[in-house]
Amino acid sequence: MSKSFIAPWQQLQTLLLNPLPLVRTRFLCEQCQEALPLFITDELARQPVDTLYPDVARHLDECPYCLAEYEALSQLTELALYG
Amino acid sequence: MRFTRWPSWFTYKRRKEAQNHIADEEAESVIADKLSEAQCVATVAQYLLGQGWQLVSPTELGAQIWARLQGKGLAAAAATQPIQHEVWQLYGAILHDHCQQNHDQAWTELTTWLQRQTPRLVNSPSEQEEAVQESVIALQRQLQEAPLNAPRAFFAFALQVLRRMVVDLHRRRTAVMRGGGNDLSLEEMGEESDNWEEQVAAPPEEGQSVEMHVANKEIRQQLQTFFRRHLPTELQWQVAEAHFLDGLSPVEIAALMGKPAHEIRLVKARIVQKLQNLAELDRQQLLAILGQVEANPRHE
Repeated sequence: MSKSFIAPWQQLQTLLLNPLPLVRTRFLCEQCQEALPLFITDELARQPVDTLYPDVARHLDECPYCLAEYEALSQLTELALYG
Repeated sequence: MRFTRWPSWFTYKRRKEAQNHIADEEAESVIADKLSEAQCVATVAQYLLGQGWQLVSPTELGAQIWARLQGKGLAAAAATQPIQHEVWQLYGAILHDHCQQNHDQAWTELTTWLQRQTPRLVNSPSEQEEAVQESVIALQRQLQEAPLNAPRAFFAFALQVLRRMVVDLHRRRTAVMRGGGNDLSLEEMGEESDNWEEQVAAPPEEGQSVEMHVANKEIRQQLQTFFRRHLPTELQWQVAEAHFLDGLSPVEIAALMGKPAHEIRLVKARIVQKLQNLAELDRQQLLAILGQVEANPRHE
């Protein structure tokens, strides 16, 4: 996924002007879910994941399906790491 | 930690300070007991022992981790988590490489580790065993086909496979109980998506400098008022202000609030969804305010 550096307020503007219709996001869902293990590993290590993986971060803002996957995997990983 | 009022260091002028919060936390404790190599190796040994991981000696891995952490001047008391993160990633990569080479001990360790994680996902012992077996087969197939691009994320990857397998098995069982034979696996569901379009926000043009925060005082005030009127909880106001006004990332906000990053990301996603579903008039009002930010990048 390409990197794009956009200020959060600009992201909000884009999200309001061009909301992603859910039906069109399936391709991005696959890419997002493929990237989730690395995204979560780096996030737990307090790396700047929003800058490293901006497209994943943006996709999680908009896609409830991937967000649910992220939440579940994130919690599971945290328990496995510290548990 | 719960804020009743947004702290003053959340203004953009102190953004740098906020960004360095994690480093500051560590630096503050330098005065106390500084981490030594022996303590680092001992922590690594304890973690490896607890997990039952034996592919590398604690001394060897401890020395590698010490080389990465010694420059950070960590206090011994605050070093456990950073060391665990390092072990997690380094040992993940080692396990990945050994598994790819069909190292028996590596597969045994991975299987045992997955068996310990499964009760968090499913209660029945027989389902746990089945999920682990299927996950190991899936992981073997995956590693034979292609190694991971980032082996340090191997543990999280294995957990993702395990979780999907549990969901898949549950679906299959449910389908059988209902008498249907048309169960659909997660992988099969994912295969439908060939030609979906992707919209990605365009990066700024070359040479264009983008302010991460909203600098103009009046516009900040307008956005704050807007968020407070339209977002339902105090936590959502705080996250919206820290992210959209101060330009802090969810990881930075989480560190400042002492919460896990995924919690902040969920709050942020709810905010975005809430703002996307505003009534048209309110949406136009928000867009008008954001349009002013663009027009007045540096006024105060």
